[in-house]
Amino acid sequence: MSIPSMTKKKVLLAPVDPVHDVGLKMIRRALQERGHEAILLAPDLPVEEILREIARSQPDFVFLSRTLGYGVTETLARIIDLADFAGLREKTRFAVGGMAIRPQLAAELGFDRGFGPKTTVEEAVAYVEGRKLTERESGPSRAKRNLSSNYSYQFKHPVISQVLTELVARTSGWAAVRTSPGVKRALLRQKILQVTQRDETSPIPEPVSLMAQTPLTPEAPFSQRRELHELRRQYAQLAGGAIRAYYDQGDLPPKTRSLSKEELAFLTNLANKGKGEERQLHLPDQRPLIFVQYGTGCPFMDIAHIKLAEAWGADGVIHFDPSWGARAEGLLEGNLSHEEDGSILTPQNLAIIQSSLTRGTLWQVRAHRGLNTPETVVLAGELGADLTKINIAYGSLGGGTDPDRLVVDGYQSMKLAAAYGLPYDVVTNEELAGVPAHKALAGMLISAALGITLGGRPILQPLFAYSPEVMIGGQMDDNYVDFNAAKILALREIIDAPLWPGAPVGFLTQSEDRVQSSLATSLHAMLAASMGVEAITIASSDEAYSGGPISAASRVDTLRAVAEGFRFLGAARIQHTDRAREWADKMVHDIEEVLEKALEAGSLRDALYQGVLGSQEDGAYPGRAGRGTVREIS
Amino acid sequence: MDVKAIGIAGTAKNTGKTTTLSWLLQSALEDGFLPAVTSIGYDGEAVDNVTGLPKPRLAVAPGMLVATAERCLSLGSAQLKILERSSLDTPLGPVFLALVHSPGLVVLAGPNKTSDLKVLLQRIREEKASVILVDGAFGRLAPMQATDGLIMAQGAARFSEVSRLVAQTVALAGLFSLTGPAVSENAEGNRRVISAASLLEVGVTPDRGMPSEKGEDALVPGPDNRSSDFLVNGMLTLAALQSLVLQIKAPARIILENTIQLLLSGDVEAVWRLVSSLAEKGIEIWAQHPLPLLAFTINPFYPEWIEGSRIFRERYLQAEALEAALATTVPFPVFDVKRNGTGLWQLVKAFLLKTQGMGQY
Repeated sequence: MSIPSMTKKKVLLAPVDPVHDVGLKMIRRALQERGHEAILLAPDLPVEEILREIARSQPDFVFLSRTLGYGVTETLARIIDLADFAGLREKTRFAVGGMAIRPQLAAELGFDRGFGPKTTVEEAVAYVEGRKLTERESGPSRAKRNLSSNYSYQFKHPVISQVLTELVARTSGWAAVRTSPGVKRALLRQKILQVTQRDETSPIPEPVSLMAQTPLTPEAPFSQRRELHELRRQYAQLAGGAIRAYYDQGDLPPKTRSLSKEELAFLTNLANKGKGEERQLHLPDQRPLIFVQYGTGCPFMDIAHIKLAEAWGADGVIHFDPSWGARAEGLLEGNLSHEEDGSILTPQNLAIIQSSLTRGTLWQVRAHRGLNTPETVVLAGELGADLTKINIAYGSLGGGTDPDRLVVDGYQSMKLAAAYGLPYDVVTNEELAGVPAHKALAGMLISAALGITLGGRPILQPLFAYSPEVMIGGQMDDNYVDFNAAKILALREIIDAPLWPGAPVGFLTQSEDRVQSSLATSLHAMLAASMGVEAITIASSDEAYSGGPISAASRVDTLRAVAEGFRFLGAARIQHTDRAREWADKMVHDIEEVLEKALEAGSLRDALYQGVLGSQEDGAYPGRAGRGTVREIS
Repeated sequence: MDVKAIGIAGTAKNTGKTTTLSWLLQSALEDGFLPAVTSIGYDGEAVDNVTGLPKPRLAVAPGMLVATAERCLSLGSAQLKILERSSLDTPLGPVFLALVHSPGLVVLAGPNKTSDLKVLLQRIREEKASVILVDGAFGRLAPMQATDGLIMAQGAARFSEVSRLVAQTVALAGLFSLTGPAVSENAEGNRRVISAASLLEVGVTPDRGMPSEKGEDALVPGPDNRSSDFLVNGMLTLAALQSLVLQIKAPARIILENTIQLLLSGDVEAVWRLVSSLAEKGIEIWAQHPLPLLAFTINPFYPEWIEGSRIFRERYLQAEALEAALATTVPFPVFDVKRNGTGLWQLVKAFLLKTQGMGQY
């Protein structure tokens, strides 16, 4: 495509370097294709000669390229100085490009513009034409992508569809007339947040341990303070021992502490700081989106990890809370730090995380497995998360929560998620405990079908995993491709719904070797891209073996490896063998069989207790946390 | 009050421009002056863009004006109140004029070409400031034409060998001393104006050190060969100057626009050798609008490239010996502000009081 002659520009390209002129040649080709006049000088001319050419040809732009070393910068600075003195900068704009060039250095050298190592030809052309890059040209747009909008959620397999309809009806019928402390707390939490949000000066409540004596804010009306106090009193009565001690006496659980005022000020400042240069992980319309997990326990490290992931092109981040958070009744409040893995879910912690995110970053707050599932959905919804995570089957069989309790809590959580417009993934991590894929997928499908009936938009999360099932059964003895691909093929035969392999992809193929772990992650990501899924979660290259918080360099390892994998693959595809199709057909058949057995058992809760969706032989144990807490609504 | 701008230029990167600026800024504040600051480069960052070594930071006080690019506004710890978004552009976004609200550090990246700096300085003069300090970048000098007085930061980063460092400083000092009366282009006499365009045609083969034939044609001083005053406008290169010297007949006078024109022409020591040889040939040379050089500062630091580990390491020359070596050979005051810079501020203050009257607020 060419441009009107009026806007044609003259560009002089000068390699100030004996060899490196490939970049300028690429730019010359693009400029000429667009109808501009591009003059490429011979490499490594003396400064005086370059200036003479500029003075003679009077170009609109001069592009210099140079690999930097100490002293080379002085040459570039001298060119600019001489051009300035000769009056050549008045009508000509000077740009410099090269591997070591950054905008800061370009400013220091006196140029009008600097092009660093990731510069595309399109960027250079857009600069000459005085326009912004189009979305396609500029790489990932930071506008948020919706993972679930392109799907009908129609079941395609008639028998499975019929069985699921009946299972959902029975499960809903049972769950709808029951409640739990978790459900009640969720409703109280909703009110607490709404009361505090009425006072715009303090959208998030102060830690409750201070609340008993001090008002929410000095300006808050007394009635509001009283209302809040009453809501928290009721909340404390529904909370378990350790959490209740916090609301009653201000005692924090072990290895947990409040941030000091100074720390909080510093953290707020950190959260509001812009991020650095953004790298491109994939093109804007390319799938899958890349999610990474944070949850170091330390709010500072979390924000650092988030900003790092954003800068290296991640599309979304996932909040990981401490494992004990799933087994305790109730959530804490305040800006809290945790000494061990898992970042504590509080409105204040989440609010700071939220403020640190770049506009386009998707944010998932997981609610999926424990006694605070509905309340976590409320926090996610009220604090502006984009996604949550709910799965009754996994939470009951691998997450340690009593099936009855999680059926009731999960049911209400799905209703809340639908009301907040929050899509959620339905994970199948019970596979990691040894549950075969077809059973885990059957459990996931029941949860998903229930969610769809309740107006939600579930995203299916099969695992790309070297799972116990395949270690024992040998399905991955030859390759990692076929069995993972089979799960995608099978689910696509059953339902038209978004897929988000997790969690994280290829995690169990990682080792202490960061190169191996990065490559394994990248290859799994390439398989996901080949299968056309919506998103994947990736681990850092030391996530399995860090023995503590993961390191920044390891985070970058896998993001870079995945970006490189996507660059390598482009529109090409990894091809699975015929085995994948055979396994997929068998999986669909086995899923149907499991669902029929679940129906024979009664409803979802019965299937969970009876081991239909994963037995003790498989490695699944119905959880005990919250047993006996479900009540019929009178 | 016509507020003056003091430029802090350097002979190279890491010669101590920002340290000098920082020293002047603090001294000015302590003395009741209200400085405004900007930079023609990028200053105040924690780590050097090229060497990766730590850099001096830049602390500012409430009430001061700073001019810096959009992307630098949020990088420092000082709270800034934006006064204006200027039309001047940089690779880091447009230049903003801001008032320091609470003390802290700033990162500066201001206009990086002469015409833009002139616009900015004029704008700052409309606000409350008693001196404008302009930080330099690398060895860049051209934008400093817009300032009213100059401090040259010299340091081991330019040459880590003391004798070389001294020789270059002597040459610089010599070139800064070439001052003389202004000469009008329209004045009577045998006068030849040589433009930048014609000078550019010369000296494209500096290896040979000889002008090209075309260049000789371009510079022939006229058919009558009687010209004796040569007014050189715009960019000058050492080769062009050599060519000119070869073609003119003594007695003659080469009259330059300003000192910076000469400093930019090429290797300073080579230029100084040529200029020093002119007197005995009966040729006078001077800059008719010299930029006053107030002093040199000297910095013993230099970054040393370690090939094995492929990093730069901090190294230092012996500070006292270096200062002494320069003080005895250079006809300008020399300060190592890290050891004792009191005299530098006194000197700048005297300059301000002389040129702009009262400076305190």
